[in-house]
Amino acid sequence: MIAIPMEQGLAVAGVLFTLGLVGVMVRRNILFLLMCLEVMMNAAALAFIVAGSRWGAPDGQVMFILILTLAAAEASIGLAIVLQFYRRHHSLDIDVASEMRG
Amino acid sequence: MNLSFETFLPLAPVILLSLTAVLVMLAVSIKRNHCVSYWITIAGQLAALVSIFALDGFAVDRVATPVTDLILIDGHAYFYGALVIFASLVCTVFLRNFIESYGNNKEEVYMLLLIAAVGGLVLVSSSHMAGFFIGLELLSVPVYGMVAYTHERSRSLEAGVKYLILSAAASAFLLFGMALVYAQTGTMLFADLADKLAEHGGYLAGFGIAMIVIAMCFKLSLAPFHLWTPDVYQGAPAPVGALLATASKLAIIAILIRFLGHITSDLTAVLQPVLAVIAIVSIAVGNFLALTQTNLKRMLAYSSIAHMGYLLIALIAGNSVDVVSANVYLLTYVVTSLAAFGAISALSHGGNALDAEEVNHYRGLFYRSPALAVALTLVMLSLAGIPLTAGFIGKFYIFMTGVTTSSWILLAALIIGSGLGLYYYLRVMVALYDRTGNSQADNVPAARASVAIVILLVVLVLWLGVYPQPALEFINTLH
Repeated sequence: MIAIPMEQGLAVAGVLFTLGLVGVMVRRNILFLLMCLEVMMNAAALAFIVAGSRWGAPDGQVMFILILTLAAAEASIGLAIVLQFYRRHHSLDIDVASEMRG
Repeated sequence: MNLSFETFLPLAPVILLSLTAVLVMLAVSIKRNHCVSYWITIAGQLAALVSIFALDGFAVDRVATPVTDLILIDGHAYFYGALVIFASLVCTVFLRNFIESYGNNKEEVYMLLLIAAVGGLVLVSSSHMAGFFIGLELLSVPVYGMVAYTHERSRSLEAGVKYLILSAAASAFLLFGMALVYAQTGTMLFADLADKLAEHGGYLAGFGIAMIVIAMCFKLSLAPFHLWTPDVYQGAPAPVGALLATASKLAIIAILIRFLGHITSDLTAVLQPVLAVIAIVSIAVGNFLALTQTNLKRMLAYSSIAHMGYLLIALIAGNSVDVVSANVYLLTYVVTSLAAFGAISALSHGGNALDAEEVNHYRGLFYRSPALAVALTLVMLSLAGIPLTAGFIGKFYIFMTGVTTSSWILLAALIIGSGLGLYYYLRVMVALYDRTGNSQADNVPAARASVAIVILLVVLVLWLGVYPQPALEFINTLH
């Protein structure tokens, strides 16, 4: 088995993270926003796996499981809010709900 | 490692609160009864608070006890833990009056509140990145639900969506930063961090720590990461706003103090000027934008941005964190903010489309509800930092930190910011006594229990302001 150098693994994670972040900033559809957040979380999880394999320690994988759990919890609350949002506005565009200013 | 009953004893407050959350869930599934859920919540929190004292949490000679690698319980952890439980206990009382008139399910909000309190307790005592992360998420995720709890109000829903997305993005930043630090140093224990950083140091770890600090600044709503704060404070139900402004902020400050204490001095030297700029910008943005607000919740949001800026001065002036100043400031800020949001909660009802949040709502309040108006006056004076109130003691300590470390620029920001603050706090006070004031229409009777708690908090504000000695001595013995 050929080991993947840490720098390359982290670079992939960094690219994923940036893609997610750009998505959160430019997308206006809430479902896509949630997906982009998921991509960011998973990028961090991937970085933990890479870091864990560098040190040959299980900590990185433990963190991966914790992050997976968090992402699930966040998605469940997020989707509950999205349901209510759609019911009220009949749209998933986040700019529809923007009445607070100042 | 040998795990026994004694190992977990210091975690009693956390365990008691978690059990209470489960109990509330069971009670709801057997039969929905608002009163029962409320009293279980109150009892559980009181038990947790008592357990801290029963464990001699504040004994002078207590030593820091680790519970596994993840958690380290010392005097500070118990101090912040007690404050978190106190804040959530007070919020429970505010919530009851508020949620009583809410048409939908009422009981789950207590469950969410208890889980958030557990998260706060874990956060303030964690000594490992995993504990840090779990505590922070346990604190934030239930709050998304609480902010959007009154989802029939479109503003509450909007605030929930905004908070969810921005807070989750901040969490992702935090996680990625942790991963980078771990990749470089091979440790996630705070205690080993300084040594390993010195040994393996490099740009990756520095970058990781910068990402962690950005995430913390976001959660503390420091400028330029403050954009979510006014909308979320305005849209969230008033009692939830109280929780956001107090329990959540103080738990994050606690972990930030711990974290900053464990990184190497050359990294601190890089962080210090950056954080100083953030503090000054926060003070400026918070105070200037608060000037034009006509919405009380929004004004409090901007004022909290400024207050976090003041607090940051205690963390960064000089070579090490001035923990005593930070603790005194946090204590006074928490008591005062709770009273401010409590007054809004007392006049708001979950069944209405809006909270009593416009300054116009409070015009002539003195002639309708004199006790509440006087209490709110004192709270505003304390937020402005007028002598004989708690706010003054807090500001005085921050000021002293600035003087002893000769951080003159930060001091100038503190003084100018406080001067500006006086203007908008006074405007609210003037409205309270305006006889020409309006409105039979939104003349809501104030909820009695909430008013009683607000008055109690104001007595505490005055006591801390007039005779702060016992509290200060107590804070000085913490270690």
